Amino acid sequence: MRPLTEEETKTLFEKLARYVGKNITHLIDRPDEPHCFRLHEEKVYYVGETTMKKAAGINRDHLLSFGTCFGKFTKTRKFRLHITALDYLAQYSKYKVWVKPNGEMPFLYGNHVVKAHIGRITEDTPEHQGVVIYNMADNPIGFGTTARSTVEIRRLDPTAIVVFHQSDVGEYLRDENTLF
Amino acid sequence: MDVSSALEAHKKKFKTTEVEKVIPLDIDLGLLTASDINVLDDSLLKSKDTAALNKYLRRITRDGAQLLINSIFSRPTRTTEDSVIAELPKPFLKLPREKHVPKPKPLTRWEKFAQTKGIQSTKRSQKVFDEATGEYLPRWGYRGVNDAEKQWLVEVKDGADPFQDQFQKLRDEKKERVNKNQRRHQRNLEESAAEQRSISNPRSMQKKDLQRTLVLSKSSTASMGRFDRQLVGEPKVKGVKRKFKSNDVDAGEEKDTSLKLLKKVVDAPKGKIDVHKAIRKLKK
Amino acid sequence: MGRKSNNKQGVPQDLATEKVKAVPTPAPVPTPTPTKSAPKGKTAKPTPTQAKKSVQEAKPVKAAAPTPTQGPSKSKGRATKNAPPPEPESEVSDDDSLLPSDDEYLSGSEAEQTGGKQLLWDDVDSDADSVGADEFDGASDSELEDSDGDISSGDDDEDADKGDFVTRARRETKRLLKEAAMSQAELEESAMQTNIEDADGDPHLFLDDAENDEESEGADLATVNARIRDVVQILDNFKAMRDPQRSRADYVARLLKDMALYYGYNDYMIEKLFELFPVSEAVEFFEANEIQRPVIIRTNTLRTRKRELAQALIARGVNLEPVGKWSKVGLQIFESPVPVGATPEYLAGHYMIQAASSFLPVMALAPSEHEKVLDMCAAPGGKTTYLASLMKNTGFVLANDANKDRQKALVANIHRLGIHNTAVANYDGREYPKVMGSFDRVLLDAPCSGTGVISKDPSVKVNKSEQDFRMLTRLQKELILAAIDSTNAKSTTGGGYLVYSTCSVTVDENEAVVDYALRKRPNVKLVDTGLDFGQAGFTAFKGQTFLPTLNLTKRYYPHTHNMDGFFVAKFKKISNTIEATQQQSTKNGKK
Repeated sequence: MRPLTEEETKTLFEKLARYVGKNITHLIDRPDEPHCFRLHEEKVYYVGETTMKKAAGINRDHLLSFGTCFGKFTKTRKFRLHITALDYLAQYSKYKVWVKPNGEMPFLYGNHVVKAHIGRITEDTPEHQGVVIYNMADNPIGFGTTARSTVEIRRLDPTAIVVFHQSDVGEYLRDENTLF
Repeated sequence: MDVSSALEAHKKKFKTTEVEKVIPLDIDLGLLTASDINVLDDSLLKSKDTAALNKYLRRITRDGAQLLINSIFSRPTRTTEDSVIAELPKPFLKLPREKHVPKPKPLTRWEKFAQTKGIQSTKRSQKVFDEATGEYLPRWGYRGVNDAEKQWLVEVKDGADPFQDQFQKLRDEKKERVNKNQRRHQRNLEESAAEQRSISNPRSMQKKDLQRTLVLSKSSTASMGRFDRQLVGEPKVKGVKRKFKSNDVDAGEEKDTSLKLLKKVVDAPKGKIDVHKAIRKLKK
Repeated sequence: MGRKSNNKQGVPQDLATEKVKAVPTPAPVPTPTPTKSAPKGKTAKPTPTQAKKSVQEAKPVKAAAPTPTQGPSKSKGRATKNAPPPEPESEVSDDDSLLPSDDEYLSGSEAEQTGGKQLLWDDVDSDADSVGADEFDGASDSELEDSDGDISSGDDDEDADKGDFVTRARRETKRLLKEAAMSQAELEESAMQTNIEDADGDPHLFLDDAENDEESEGADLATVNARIRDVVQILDNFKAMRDPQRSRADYVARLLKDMALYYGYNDYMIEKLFELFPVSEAVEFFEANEIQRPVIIRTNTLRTRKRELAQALIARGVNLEPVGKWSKVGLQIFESPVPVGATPEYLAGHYMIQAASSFLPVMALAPSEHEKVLDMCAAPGGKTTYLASLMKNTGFVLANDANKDRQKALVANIHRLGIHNTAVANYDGREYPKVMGSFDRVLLDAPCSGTGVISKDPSVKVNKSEQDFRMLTRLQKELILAAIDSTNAKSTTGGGYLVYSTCSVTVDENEAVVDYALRKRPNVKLVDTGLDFGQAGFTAFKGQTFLPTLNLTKRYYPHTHNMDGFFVAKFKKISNTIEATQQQSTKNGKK
């Protein structure tokens, strides 16, 4: 476990900013307990200070996880968000998309969101913007990137892809072996 | 016929070429430069009336340019077929150097020795007169006069072996001199390198370098040296250790650095403007 | 249908009372009249479908069971000296071919049993109804009221969904009653049949020569089952019903042999489990192990509330009900058109599928916020996540498990349920105070033989030997000492507690281990678990005597509590050094 280097922090923030924008400030500057980002086996964990200090006492070969895993650095040092970060993304996301019940399962199986399945979308969502995807019961079920801006979506036909799938909670079942 | 009035009238159509300055400008015609050191109007510079300020600055610039051109025309000119040429004097302003001043070369052993002994090197001409051809030839090197091959006669000195090939002897001696000089040159390079790395003894530096090369070469196998046998007492070479910040950084400090970094990331200029949003905002 | 009635999860009293009502006082008449002395209302004889199922299950097991190595273990047994010698292997291998196919076999046995008197199912049913109805009506009424009252009192605070649950509960109770009546009728019928055979002078119970073995091998399971019931009946009322030629040990040996055959256990296991219970209860235990336990889900209070979750799942067509008074977060699933482990609510971490029994150790440990808690054997995370959600994501939970493969599920569950205060480590639990110590609370759900979860993993019936038990208990003893040493007696949060639990029912994995820990570490004492149901632990067993405080531990059985067999003990650490406590105790003794 170690703190992120400046370069790594920058990569991480750039990726997070795609979804939550300036709200990253709320992650770093928390009123309850200071939280920090730590790198462990190429995975980035977001963790409270007390938990981090205690987990730091465990030998790195025996430590598997602590706090919340946000994602991992790839071999090319890009950062990839994991579905486990959804909790915080959903809390601070700027742009949201709600899918109808009939679109819920297709999305949970890893498909893109088509226009017919969109229930609601934040106004002014630009193109290629990171969005968190909710079901109509307001539960976050994943995140993705918009293919079109809100204005353009109105003119699309129902089968056109509106949000590109990036990650969904179905991965807890599908990718359990590779994700953790 | 008095044309002065007509001239006057014609002159009035144009602006005057005369410029008056409190302090005359420094003009270096060689670089076509004019520097104005007159005091600027402070109140105008600080005022928010940009139109007035621009007008003022433009006037000063025009005056400077006019003075520069006036001085060019005051130079002697000559006419060629299709143009008039004014010859400019040599520049006297010194421009700053683009590159670093080169560092002094490290002294060789001989130079050091000569310095301590106060030996002055006397300039010796590089060429000598060759009586045979009546030409000046280089004292040494290519086509030099000290080439053994070129001598048609070599004197056998008293007490010398009469059967020795004197030409061969000259050749050998030259070779020996060249080699010696090369060794000295090498030694000088090593010593200066050691000096730069602030190692007093150039031999110990050599040893270090050798050991490092040895270990690197041992690990330059397909298995990264994993299956190679270590010698007894073989030193372990320390690689460069990556250094990261400690886990126990003060939370407040870490927060501040992250926030600073975040500001850089978030405030970075964005490529696109959301046109639709902008239009709606304007309408409101 | 038949299974669902048994699945009624919950406050143990319900089931217990039902049983009390249903269990007949054994008739002292040696030659009972066919209808009246029949054992009524026990879980008893399987309904045709059940019988079929058990036959299917038992078949392969039976073929595997009597291997040569089991011979000696059998002879070691408590009272099996008179038992006939183990069957030669050749017979065993023939076994499969001898057995007719299921359908054939069922119809055959039916004909055989009813053959003599040409009893028809219909006749018997009506007969039984007329007899049983009287007794049953009273019971049914009171029970209906009982359950009604239960539910309304339990859900007082949840007025909105009360109506819903109550009507469902009523429906459930009615169904339960109907089935009970049916099974009673069947029982009486079977009793009648066996009585017919009894009239011939009890020829089938004992044939202590080779013939008997052949008979039992070739015999269909229904006969074996009938014989089990007979022997149980006799053992329950031994003086009156015994054959004077036979000793109690003979009967027990017969019973063990039959049960091993019928339920498919190896001889060692059946004896080990049989020792734990009175005879009639033992049969119930084995019977309960054949039935799947109900699916229970735990609401993740960090994400949602029980009522919201129930509504969301009902909207998906899931039939569910609160698990009972004892847990505010448990929901029992009766049937579901969608897989419960793959609904969007599950994926969003609104609930966790976990056995009812795994609620108990966490409830006993009762962690509070801002504590430092260790879960020593955490995978797959049901208990850890429950711990963390009770602590409201504050403090620190260290989830440890020695098995790296199982920890993927643990980490996944922790993240899915939105738990942030947990670190996951992969150490052998025995290394513990060295790795990290002074925890406010420690939960040790020790690795065990799994005799409480046979319904989940029937392989336990045959693949455990004495050697396995010896190794397991040794490991458990080492783990419990490590857990005690990791606990901080001087906890500032009012902690210093350790909960030891296993999903096993045997005494040497539970009471013996706890007793060992108490003797080895005088700086801990047992305290009340805080669980208001369950049976008290043994203080003496088969000549072993344990410390008297062991009655503070709690045991749970599949047949009495309709959850997995389980054991929970809660310790309080008094001091961090052993010597200090010893001195204190000696001082106290002198005073």
